[in-house]
Amino acid sequence: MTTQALYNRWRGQTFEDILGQEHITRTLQNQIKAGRIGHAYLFTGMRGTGKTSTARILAKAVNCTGGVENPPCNQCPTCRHINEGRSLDLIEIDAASNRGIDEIRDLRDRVAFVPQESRFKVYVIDEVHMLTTEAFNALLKTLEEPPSHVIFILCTTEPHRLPDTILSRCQRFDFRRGSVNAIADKLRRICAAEGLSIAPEAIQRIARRAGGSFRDAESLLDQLASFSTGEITASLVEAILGTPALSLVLDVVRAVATGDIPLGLRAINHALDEGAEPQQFLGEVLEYLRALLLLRVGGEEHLANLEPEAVRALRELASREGFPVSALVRAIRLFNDAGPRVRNAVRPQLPLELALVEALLPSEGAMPEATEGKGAPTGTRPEPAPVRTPLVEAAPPAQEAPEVAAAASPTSEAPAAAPSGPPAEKAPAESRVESAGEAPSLTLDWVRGHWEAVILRMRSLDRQVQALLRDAYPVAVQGQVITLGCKWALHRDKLSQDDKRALVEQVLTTTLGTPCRIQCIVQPEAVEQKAAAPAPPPNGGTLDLRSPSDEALDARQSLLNHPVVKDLQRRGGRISRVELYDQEKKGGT
Amino acid sequence: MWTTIGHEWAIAALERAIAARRVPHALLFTGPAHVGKTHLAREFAAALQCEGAAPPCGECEACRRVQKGTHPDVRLVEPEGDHIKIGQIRNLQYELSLSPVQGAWRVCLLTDFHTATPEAANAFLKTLEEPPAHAVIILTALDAGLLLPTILSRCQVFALRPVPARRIAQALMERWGAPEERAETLARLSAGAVGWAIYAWEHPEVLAERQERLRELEALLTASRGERLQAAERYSKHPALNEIIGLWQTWWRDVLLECAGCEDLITHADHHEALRRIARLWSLPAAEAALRSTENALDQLEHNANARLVLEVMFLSWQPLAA
Amino acid sequence: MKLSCLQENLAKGLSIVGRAVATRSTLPVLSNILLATDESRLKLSATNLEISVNCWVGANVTEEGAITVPARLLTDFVNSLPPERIDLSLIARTQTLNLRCGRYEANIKGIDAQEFPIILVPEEDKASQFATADLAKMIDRVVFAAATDESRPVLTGVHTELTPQGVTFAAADSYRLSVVSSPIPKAPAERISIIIPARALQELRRISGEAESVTMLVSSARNQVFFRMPEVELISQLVEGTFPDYRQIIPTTYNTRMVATTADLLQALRMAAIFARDAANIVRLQILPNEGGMGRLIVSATSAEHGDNVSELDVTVEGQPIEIAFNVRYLLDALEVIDTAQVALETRDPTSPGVIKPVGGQDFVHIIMPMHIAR
Repeated sequence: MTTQALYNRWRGQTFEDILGQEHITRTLQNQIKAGRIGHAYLFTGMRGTGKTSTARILAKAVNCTGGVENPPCNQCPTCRHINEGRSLDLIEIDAASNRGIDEIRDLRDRVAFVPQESRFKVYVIDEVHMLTTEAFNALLKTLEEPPSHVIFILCTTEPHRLPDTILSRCQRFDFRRGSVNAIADKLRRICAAEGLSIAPEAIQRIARRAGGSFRDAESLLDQLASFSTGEITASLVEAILGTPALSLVLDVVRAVATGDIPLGLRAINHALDEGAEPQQFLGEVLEYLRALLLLRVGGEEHLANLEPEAVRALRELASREGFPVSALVRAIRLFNDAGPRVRNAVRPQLPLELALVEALLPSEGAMPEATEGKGAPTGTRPEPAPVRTPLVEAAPPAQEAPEVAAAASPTSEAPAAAPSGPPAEKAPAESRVESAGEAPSLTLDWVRGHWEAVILRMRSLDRQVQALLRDAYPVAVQGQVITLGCKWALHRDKLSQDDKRALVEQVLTTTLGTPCRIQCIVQPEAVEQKAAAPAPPPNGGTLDLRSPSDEALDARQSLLNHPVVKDLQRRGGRISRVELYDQEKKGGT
Repeated sequence: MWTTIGHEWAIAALERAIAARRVPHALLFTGPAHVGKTHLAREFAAALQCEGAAPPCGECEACRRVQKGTHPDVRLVEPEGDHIKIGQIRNLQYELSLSPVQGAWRVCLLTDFHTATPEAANAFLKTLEEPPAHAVIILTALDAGLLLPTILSRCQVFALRPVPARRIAQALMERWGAPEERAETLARLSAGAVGWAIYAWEHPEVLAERQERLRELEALLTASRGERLQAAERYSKHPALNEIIGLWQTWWRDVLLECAGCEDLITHADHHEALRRIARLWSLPAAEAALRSTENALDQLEHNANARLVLEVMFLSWQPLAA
Repeated sequence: MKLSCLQENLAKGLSIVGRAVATRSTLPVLSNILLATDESRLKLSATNLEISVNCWVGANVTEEGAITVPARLLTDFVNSLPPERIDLSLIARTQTLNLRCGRYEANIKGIDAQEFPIILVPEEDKASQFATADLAKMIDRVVFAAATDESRPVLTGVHTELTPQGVTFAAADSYRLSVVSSPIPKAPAERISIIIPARALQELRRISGEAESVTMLVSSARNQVFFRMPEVELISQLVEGTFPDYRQIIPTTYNTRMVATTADLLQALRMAAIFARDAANIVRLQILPNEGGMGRLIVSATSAEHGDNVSELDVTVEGQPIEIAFNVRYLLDALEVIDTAQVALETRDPTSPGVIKPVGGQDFVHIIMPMHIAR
């Protein structure tokens, strides 16, 4: 037989057992005493806060025949049957597997049945948010006029997914997230009763890790109990939960503060090799970086929760010279950004390593951008390539900048270099802003000169967008922002849609060899202008190459129109179908 | 004899649970692909059913049947198509309520539970919380974050981490008779994914292909822009594009590690010479940028950006090496 | 393996084990039938891990052996053969079963018999014995009351209690309950209480037709039940869990008792069912006592959209007049398995359970919860 899980064995049996929800249990008890029992309750709250337990206790209390002052008595047959899961009058329905209208109609028909052994037939509908809209409507009818012998208890972790019409018909009780103290209390009780020996720090760690859920805490305790032979210690908790060793976390922080890249890389690899859970490791690194930041700006009080070892190390690092707050903020932001990548990565250390290295490289603003537009770098001297030129305009995730970064933003990250032109649809990605000043300046002629190439290239990507571009023409260039004049408002609106705009920007970026953004206005005369004087390809690149398929033509065409090719052509490169690339190679050397 | 490679802490915990008769009714094994989740789960199922003295003995009828997938009391539920569906969960719920046929337990193993539809996952909550006394439910998933919190809180979670390279290499040598050098290479390349390492050992073409891809990468660095654009077009149609970029990513990571003076951490130890040469010509920022470019490329491919454009940008961002 | 048997016998055996073949299973071997020689007989086995059936067919065995072959294929082929002798032989190397019958021949690819689950049969000492006809009647009276919704698995089973005095079967969902008891020819010395899946009992009823008596055994681990008949065996896993304490639901007193002619009541209810279809299947029973223990029963059903129907029956009534509503499908389900000429309905009040009993000595009680009716 499996051992019954602790969270089942310790499921609350009386209202007093439900910890941290006194605001609910007291109200329910008063209702029972006064005989004012509702017919529809809604229990909401995160997992493991006592919703189902309370529902069962309520079912017992309203039906208890024990005659005690504070039901349930847990002695009478009704209470016992419910506790043993064999009552025919407590019906627990799992809305996730009975979510359709047929099931709810069936329920509606069945609520007319009177209870078999007790006063009330109690229907507990768990995960009620899973019902379909039709099912909600059917349920609504039942909730409107339930028979007097029926009590509905709807439970959900996601009340916002319930229609208002349902919400308004229920007495709603919001279960609170369990506090660390309440959870620790319960764990202590369980350990004492089960004869488990456990270190006080271990209890604290479990309670913290449980994130407010009693069941999570009990599950963890269960796991630790089955693993340990003697006392459950804090280090055992670390081993099972994959908590990284503090020294390695501090090594990464030290690496950031001192610029010691090898130290940081080794610490990251070490920690993960030793079995640290990558996301936890990242979380810890962030926490201590933040502590260091706060220390730098004078916040001592945040150190209270940290280990003495960490406090010592952080104090020493904070007192170092030549380590600007802005660099620390940058590091925090980079590590924070690595979060989602760590979760999905095959090699979770990679995003961590990248964050570390990037944080310690000279800041991007100081790096010149190499672009194709200026010709290929030919020397052997390493010249940094454009570091971040996202193809798709990835708007920064809302959570990107941690609060601390926001607080410290009046430093070098301020968007001083933001284009002064009309604001685009949304804020540009930060990296763009930073590099805007360094980007080569586009000219209207240059853009117009490549316009046909852009249109041609678009053919293989999206015919509709291609058609839209045919009726548009660049009318202005300011920084990286290219203003397109469209013939109709409808075209402007379409091109301004996120996906289409992103595609156009992708193609412009690769065709022009520098990050571009577009902004669309209505300006029919621009198109006429284009029609009147179609800008020839800057150097008469022939378009009469024919190949078997459109796609191949496109591929060639895009090559022909590539700035580099054109550059070479300008310098006298000869183009022929098969020798195109050879020719270029010769030119390059 | 447990045959799972690595994860000793998890095995110890499971063994103790069996010995102390505190078998949890719901377990979840999480971890990256090929790290050994299903293998360990199956082995735990065998240990529960084993008739031998030291479960899992691997030799008794029960162990044999569990390994072959023919044990009547060990039920495997895999995603049907892309998902675990509610119908599968419903069938399972009834089956679990029946007494076991041969063994002491009815074990059901649901693999890749992160693929379960929300309906299926929610429908499983009740059973997962209070299954019949003889039932043991084992789930595997890539990441705990991909599951409903309500599922998680009902399971004992074993977060399996990548297996250290030395353990994999050792196992390849001892159990598969791999020569040391090959074992080391595979172990490092596997990033802790045991299953991949074994597969690559049993399928030599995997390593051959890797050599080819790395050779191509090196060639690209001395290639002209035109050739790079051509390569972008060619690769954009490759069905395993993501894996190829992933491989290149590990290579750039090695360059970065070389530049940073952390030779000991590199993956492609057998390409040390080439890596060192490039690291001499490059600087840390350039290596970082190249590595970042692979990461951006993978990101953009995931968001369905045009593969050719993505590759063009990536290839062109790599600094040319003088021939 | 080499043997011969008659087509009729094999076809019949296959039809007996056929329903236990798994229709959808992750184990391919479960959609096969196991054929194995057993002294001078051929043993056929099928299992879906819930129900297993073994059946023996007379055969002339010349070489022992065993193989599993796909059930559908084998059954369809054998059914289409003429009623003559079939020769079966196993080609061990390819695990292929060769069948010959007159001028017809087939080769069916099989799966090694080793793959088939082993189902052990317990000792006979705790056996109970039933007369098949009685058993069939008892099964009919309870299985329909078992829940079909699998969300609460214990209620999909039939609670079976064996005592030295006899057997009691009970099935319930949350709205009705059927209990039937009977002495049996041979009862165990001690009390045994188990939950048998309703499907297993239905299957038992189907295949036990020709046997005169059925022997029942419960494994000592209480995880399986065996039903043994001549040449046929059915083994079922048991449902784990605690069955509701149904005895305390059965009322011991009543304020109204009505006795009606079963056939008349059935007819009136069938009529009412037509009209109740659109009204949650609600039928109203008005029981009106007259002088001298006689009385009337008015059966009515109303469909708000389509009309109504009223029938009146002469009945005997004891106690108070009452109006009570039931789900008509449930009433019909119960009355259809009552074979006495008269049937009694007892109740305390419109919100108390209705108790249905055959009049005339049989130990059968059916409880239906009334419906709440708005007035």
